[in-house]
Amino acid sequence: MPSLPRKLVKRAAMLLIVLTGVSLLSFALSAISPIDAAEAFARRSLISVSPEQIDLLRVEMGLDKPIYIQYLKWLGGLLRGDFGVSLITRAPIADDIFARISLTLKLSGLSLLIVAVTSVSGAVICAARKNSPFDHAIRGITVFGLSVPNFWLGFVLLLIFAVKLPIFNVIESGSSLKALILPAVALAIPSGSSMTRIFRATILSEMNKDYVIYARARGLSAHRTLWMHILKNSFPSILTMLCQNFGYMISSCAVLEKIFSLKGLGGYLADAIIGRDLAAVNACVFIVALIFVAVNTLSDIVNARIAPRMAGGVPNV
Amino acid sequence: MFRKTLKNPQAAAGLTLIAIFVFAALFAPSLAPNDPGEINAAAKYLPPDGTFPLGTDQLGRCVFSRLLYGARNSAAIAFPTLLIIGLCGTILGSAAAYAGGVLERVFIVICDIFMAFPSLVIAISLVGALGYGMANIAAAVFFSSWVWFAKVVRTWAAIEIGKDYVTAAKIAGCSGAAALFRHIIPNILPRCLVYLSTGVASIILMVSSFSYLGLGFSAGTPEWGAMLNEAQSNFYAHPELLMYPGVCILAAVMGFNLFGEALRDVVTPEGAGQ
Amino acid sequence: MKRRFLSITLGTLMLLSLLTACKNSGDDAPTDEPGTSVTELTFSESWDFSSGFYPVLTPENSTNTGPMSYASNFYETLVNYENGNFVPGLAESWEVSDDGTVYTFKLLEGVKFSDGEDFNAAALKKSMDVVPQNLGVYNGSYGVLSTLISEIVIVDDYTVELRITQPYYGVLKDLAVINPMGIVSPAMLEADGSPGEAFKTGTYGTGPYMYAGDGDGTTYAFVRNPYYSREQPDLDKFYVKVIPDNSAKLLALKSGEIDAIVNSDSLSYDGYFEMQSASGFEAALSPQESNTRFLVFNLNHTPFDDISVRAALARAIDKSAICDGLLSGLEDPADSLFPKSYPYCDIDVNVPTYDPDEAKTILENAGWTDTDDDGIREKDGVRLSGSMIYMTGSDTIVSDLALTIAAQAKEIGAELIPEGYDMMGLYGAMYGDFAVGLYHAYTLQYDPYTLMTNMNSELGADPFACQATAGIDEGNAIIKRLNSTPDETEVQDIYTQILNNITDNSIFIPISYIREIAVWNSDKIAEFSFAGYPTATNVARITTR
Repeated sequence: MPSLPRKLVKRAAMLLIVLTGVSLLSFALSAISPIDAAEAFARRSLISVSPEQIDLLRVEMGLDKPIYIQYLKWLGGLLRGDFGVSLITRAPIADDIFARISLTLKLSGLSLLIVAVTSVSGAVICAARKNSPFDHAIRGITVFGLSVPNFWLGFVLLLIFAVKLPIFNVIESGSSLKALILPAVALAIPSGSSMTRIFRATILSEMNKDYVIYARARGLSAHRTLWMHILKNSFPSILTMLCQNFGYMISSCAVLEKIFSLKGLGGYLADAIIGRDLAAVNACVFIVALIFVAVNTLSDIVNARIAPRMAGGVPNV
Repeated sequence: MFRKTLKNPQAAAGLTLIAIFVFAALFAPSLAPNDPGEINAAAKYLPPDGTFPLGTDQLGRCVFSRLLYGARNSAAIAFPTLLIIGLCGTILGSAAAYAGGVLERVFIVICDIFMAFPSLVIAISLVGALGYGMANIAAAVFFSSWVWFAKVVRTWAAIEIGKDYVTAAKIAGCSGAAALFRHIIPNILPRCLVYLSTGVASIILMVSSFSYLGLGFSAGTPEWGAMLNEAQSNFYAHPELLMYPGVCILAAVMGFNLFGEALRDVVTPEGAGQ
Repeated sequence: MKRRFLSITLGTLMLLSLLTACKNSGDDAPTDEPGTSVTELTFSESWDFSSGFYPVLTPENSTNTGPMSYASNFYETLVNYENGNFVPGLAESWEVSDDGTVYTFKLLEGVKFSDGEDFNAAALKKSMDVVPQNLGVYNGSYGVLSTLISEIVIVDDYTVELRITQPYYGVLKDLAVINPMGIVSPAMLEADGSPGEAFKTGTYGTGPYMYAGDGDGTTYAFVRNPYYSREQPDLDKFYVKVIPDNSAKLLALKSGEIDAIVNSDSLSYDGYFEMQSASGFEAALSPQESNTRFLVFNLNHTPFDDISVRAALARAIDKSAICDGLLSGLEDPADSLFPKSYPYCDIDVNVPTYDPDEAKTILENAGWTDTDDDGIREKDGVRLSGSMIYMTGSDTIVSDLALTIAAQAKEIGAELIPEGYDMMGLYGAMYGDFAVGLYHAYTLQYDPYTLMTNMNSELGADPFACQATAGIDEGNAIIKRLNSTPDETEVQDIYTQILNNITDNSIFIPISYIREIAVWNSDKIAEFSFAGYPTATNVARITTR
């Protein structure tokens, strides 16, 4: 096995490449848009605006320069921690993101926790009691869970638990557990349903391996040690999937943040996209990618520790 | 393999739903009792009757006809996009695994880049740049989701390449393309099909979310997601209009998932390991 | 397995229908105990107040103008707009010189700002002097007046002369709009006249309320202005909660977390009817119209350069059916570009009546016939077809309107293809080669003055408005004359000319007049009246139980 520092350096290099790629892609996408961002922005806020005002705005937005210069400028700012100023809030983007990111992370984290706990336990029980009524019920429920559009779930949950039953408020301030639990559940239902089904299949296929069949043949079917082995071997792929899901969750937070009136990163990104606030979009995309990449790296490291012999054929990246 | 699938009750249920979906999509023009786009302001919110099996919506259009044509539009996007994702993902993913070395690394990096990118941004940028319309929506769906499949294909292909029969083929002088198409791809194809069959469901949902966000088809196009969006605007007065497209999406998505998972159960049978 | 599956399906379907049936059972508004009088209310707004409370709000400091709808609680203006007239505000009375360049205002005495400073001529002068500089590069975008001020002269403690460089008939209207003419306490301005940090965290005006200073970004509290000496409003305190999503606002109203929703940006018609029929809530339409929906043609885009085409389409749109049906009776059919209640707009125009047969005759006589039997007419190889651009929103009502209009056009053999754009996209499309636009005017605070100003194509400010003067000889000159004449008769003549030209040449097809809407918890609120500019939430006009 190559020495740890060398692996880390290789890993870090990969991350940098991915992040650079993400930022390049982000700029490329904004370049292909035919809408003149300066003009669109000026007209959004003003009843009457002159071409001179638009030109001033264009210079302020830095859009008068060719795209590669804009990218280099952005890169320079990034290294200083300066993402520019948001067109919508007129505050430094770094400040905006910093104020909002903890809420989104908490929301996604809480949601992931719910997903992990319910899907893993659900999957284990289903696999252990395959084809029992419980198994069928869970499989039925999860199919519904992953077929429901999540933009609708939030609204329904609020309607039931905030309006009909006065348990929660429609608007909860802050980022306490009470404020985040409903949106976290809404976020967790589609992912959790999907994960439960996948984990069930993973555990089942693990249970079909030789050592399990052998142990069963020796009459050790429900033995705890056997289960620990099964879980330990299923763990890498479960963790990988959960972490990939985390990244996906962060970006799908947007709709839920809106309906639950939460001041998070997802809503900020959505507003920036709609308002053609390119600087904010680039910054948010970068941060989201950073989180995604970091979380996946973490999961790879944990996997490498727990199960050093990974499924064959995967190169050591 | 297929006979075994059909015997599985879950697969049968899934197939039934899929069949209904495809049937509705194919024969919508003949099955629909009315023109789905025919507006009649005086006939708004009619209850179900002989002419309008499920009543009318806020513009007096026949809900049932719109649902049928909605199946058609959803299928028209989902199936071709899926086909292209399947082709590109399978070929590129296994080619990358076979090529190995730097090319494989580059491929993985590209996949990571797209995976780290919020798909909403890709979708909005593409639709914003290319305009509305079915082809552009399909492109947006494709670009935001192809990598997830391609990366998984690469992993599977890499595992296959590590196996003995591939080495044997190489020794026997099999060329790259031949090895790919004759040996590797056929062995991973079943798993690809399983993945793709559940992929239809997520495409339908993705298109629905795009419609909900206003990135969908042109106004008035019967499509389940767009119908959900319209019904949401009139939720308090007529909540049943929300239920019809919702149930349709549910049924279609459920059908594909049930079938896909039954296929998976068949394709990874007992004793064959991972 | 199949049976289990079926039972699960049925069960869920039943659950879903139960759910949706549940919500129809008429929500009860949360009530106070009998005998207590309501001293506090909570409202909602889509954006926060992070850009501060200074009345001059430009894209320099923020693009979210929502909080301006509460500004009338803290700031006052020299004059107020009420039902088509300009009435005294902080100015008791005024006189205009014959040449229209000097306005003399007699100020209200005994008024103080919320920081204790006196309101007098000196304070007024300082407050208004800094407005052009604080507008910066956007001077002129919020009313013409700020570009015309030559000097503000203090005659005595409570008399002020506003001198402008040229006559302008809209001086009073510009003075009535809080952004930018709300009067602030000059003691709180920075030395250089900019609002500074003070206005980020406080309101310093003469209005009955002021900011308590303790907002957390989600809820802002406002209390009585201790120095307000005129008739006191009912409420001691009010809160504004930041709720970006309109569905969430309605849910919050139902659950009692907020007490009213005002303004059609925050409330859909569906929500309006829902609360109207719910017990414990009431709903109202503003008596004033505040906007106009219209179709506008690009006179340079074939085939809409042909007056027969436009005249025919003007007779093909069934406005009554649209207003009664799609718009649920909440909007009235529009005859002219502006409602008669607007200043200078009490004019009778020759409105074409809905008559599809006559429309078809007009087209036939002009040579538009359906030669290839596809339902759309042609003439000299040109199809009677064009794209109709409009803005999509969270509410699908405009999309539905576009589809309805397209269907009515199809009846007479014309093809209008709806093309929806998001806000930014629409602005891009407007400046391109559009054929037909489905849009609306600027709302009462800017109409009709600003829309008329933008009809001058040299400004390049609004491609829709410019169509009104295309085809009039010297159209731009007429608009410039409008904005510089002291003669009220001439102003009225120009309005009459332009509005008639629009109708006679079918340049715009006005569809409906929009009114503002409000819903509120009637257990807490006894009476609700709309403000002079009905998009604003004026707390003083609310009486509580």
